Amino acid sequence: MKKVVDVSLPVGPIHPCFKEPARIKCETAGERVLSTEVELGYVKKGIEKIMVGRPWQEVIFLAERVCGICSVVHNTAIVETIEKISGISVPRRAAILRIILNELDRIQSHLLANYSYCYTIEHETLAMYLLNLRETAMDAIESVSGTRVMSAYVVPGGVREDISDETVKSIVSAMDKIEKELKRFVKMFESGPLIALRSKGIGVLSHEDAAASGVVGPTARACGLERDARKDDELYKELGWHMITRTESDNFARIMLRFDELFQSVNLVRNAAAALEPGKIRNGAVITAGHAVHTVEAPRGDLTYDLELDEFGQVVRVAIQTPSIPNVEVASHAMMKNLTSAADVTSVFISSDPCIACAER
Amino acid sequence: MSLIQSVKNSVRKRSIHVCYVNTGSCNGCDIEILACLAPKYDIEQYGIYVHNNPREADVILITGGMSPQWIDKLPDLWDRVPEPKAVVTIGNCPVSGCVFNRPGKLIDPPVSKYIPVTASVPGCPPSPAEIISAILGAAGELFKDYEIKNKEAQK
Amino acid sequence: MKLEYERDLSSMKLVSLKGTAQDEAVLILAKRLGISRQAMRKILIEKCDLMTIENLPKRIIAAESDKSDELAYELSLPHLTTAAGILNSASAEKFLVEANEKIKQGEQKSAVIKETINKILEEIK
Repeated sequence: MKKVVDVSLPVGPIHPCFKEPARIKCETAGERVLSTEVELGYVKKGIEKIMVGRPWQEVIFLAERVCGICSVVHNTAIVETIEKISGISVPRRAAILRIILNELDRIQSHLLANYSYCYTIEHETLAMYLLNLRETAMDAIESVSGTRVMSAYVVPGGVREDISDETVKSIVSAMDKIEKELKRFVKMFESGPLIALRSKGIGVLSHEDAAASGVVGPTARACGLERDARKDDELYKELGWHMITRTESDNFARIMLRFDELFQSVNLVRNAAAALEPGKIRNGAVITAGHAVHTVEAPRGDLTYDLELDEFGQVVRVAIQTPSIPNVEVASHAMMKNLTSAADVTSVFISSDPCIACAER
Repeated sequence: MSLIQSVKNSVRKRSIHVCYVNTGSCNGCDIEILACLAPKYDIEQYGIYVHNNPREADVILITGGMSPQWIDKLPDLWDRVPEPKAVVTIGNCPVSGCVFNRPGKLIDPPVSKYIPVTASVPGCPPSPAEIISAILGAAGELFKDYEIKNKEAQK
Repeated sequence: MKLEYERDLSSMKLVSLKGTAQDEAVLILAKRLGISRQAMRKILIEKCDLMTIENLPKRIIAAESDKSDELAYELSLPHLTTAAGILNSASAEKFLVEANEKIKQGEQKSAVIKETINKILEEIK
């Protein structure tokens, strides 16, 4: 874009608040931000292009490495797409184990997002509390899958490994710990007057912008849109899932919505652990040719895989629609429009939980 | 060795400022670096401070296998880091490109083609404990007697 | 040290436009305006920033469902203004009013649409 502006304020690519490189060029008039332009390409790896022509066994590992923060959900999404193509059924125990790991992943991702936000508004104490709490969730993930990140736990027809009853018990006690601690932190966040000053009424997303950009996940739910891929899942409903929305659609609403979802995820893991029955964890599977589109709910929103396989199980065509694409777009264009202070640019950006690695693939 | 040199050595060992640069990784290594900040691992007890500002950094942590945008920007960034400085790469990507080094790729590994690399921590991703021990191991040796080494090099 | 503030990002934008879903979105837009994919890519590279290009598929889907004004939909005005942002809303309004008047005067609808799209192309190029 060749645009001539009066004052352009660049933020990034290396910035103390950003976990990943992105450059936001803000057109400013005094302190007011008029419009923004995003420069990307720092983490473009061309995963869609690399995937084409590779067998599904390799593609599962490549898909996991689209995003390191929510690697479990990328693994689940592509495996469920392959299962949809080939018509493979999953045993009940494996399906529940998948939900346990996915919800643990959501817990650590939401805690990381809220840590980043608190760090960005310079509330380092609360940020460190949340980051330390995240380690409890990471230990639970490690006890289920064997690694902290990139576990490749979900395989076609089921899951890779079973977990023992002791592990289930330790996960449930970890959930109790998270819930107990989190209540204190949420109270700190909710009642902090300085946090409210830097969060309430800032980065408001209007309904028109939300509708035009196809925003998903907590960012959409924080402005009253009921968008969640889990609402069509029978097993999730059985485990007591319900839609959580807020109406304020500012920074505060987005962070509080993530806190609310954390409590829900903790309950879902507990209910799933109670619903575990002994049984098979993996069915046999034959991969066939075909085309399928599958959507799952990632921690950041709807993640869609559009996958086409040939008869040898090789990828013909793949489109990965990650939730971060609309969320980062709407955060950098719509939410930052007419922002009263340039100091809020980073906190507005971080409040939408941006994942540049997801957005660029 | 003069007294002032030994003071400098002991101070430098306990005060290492770190900046991490994501040159096209998947985020996995970045969040493991971030996890080092958590009170559980507590990277600051070893005197390692994560500032994420290249202008005050001693050690640059590089994750990722050089995406096209970084190829001219990373040497620029390296010039701005004050001496003494070192690069530690985290993960497999800066060494080999890992899973992304396939036909039709956009990345261009290894990172050592563009800037001098002191140490590498392999793993996809490495655990926080490995990252901490690598930074401590590399920085302690590298910054020891920096002035003396520098003088000898200039002779 | 060479410091460059405005980098030429067109090669990076082209890589983004070649993504599977993005490519489909570009084809939809190109078909609506009756131009080649290459010409459409050129317009988008010049007028959009990288994040808009990445989010083009979702925005085009949202614009496709916006059928509140039939004539505007057929002129693909929601696609160009709210979705891609390559046409400003004031001139979009102007084109819509012009086309409406011509149809009222008794000109054939398909001819008017074709003529207006050509005018829009002149404006965004």
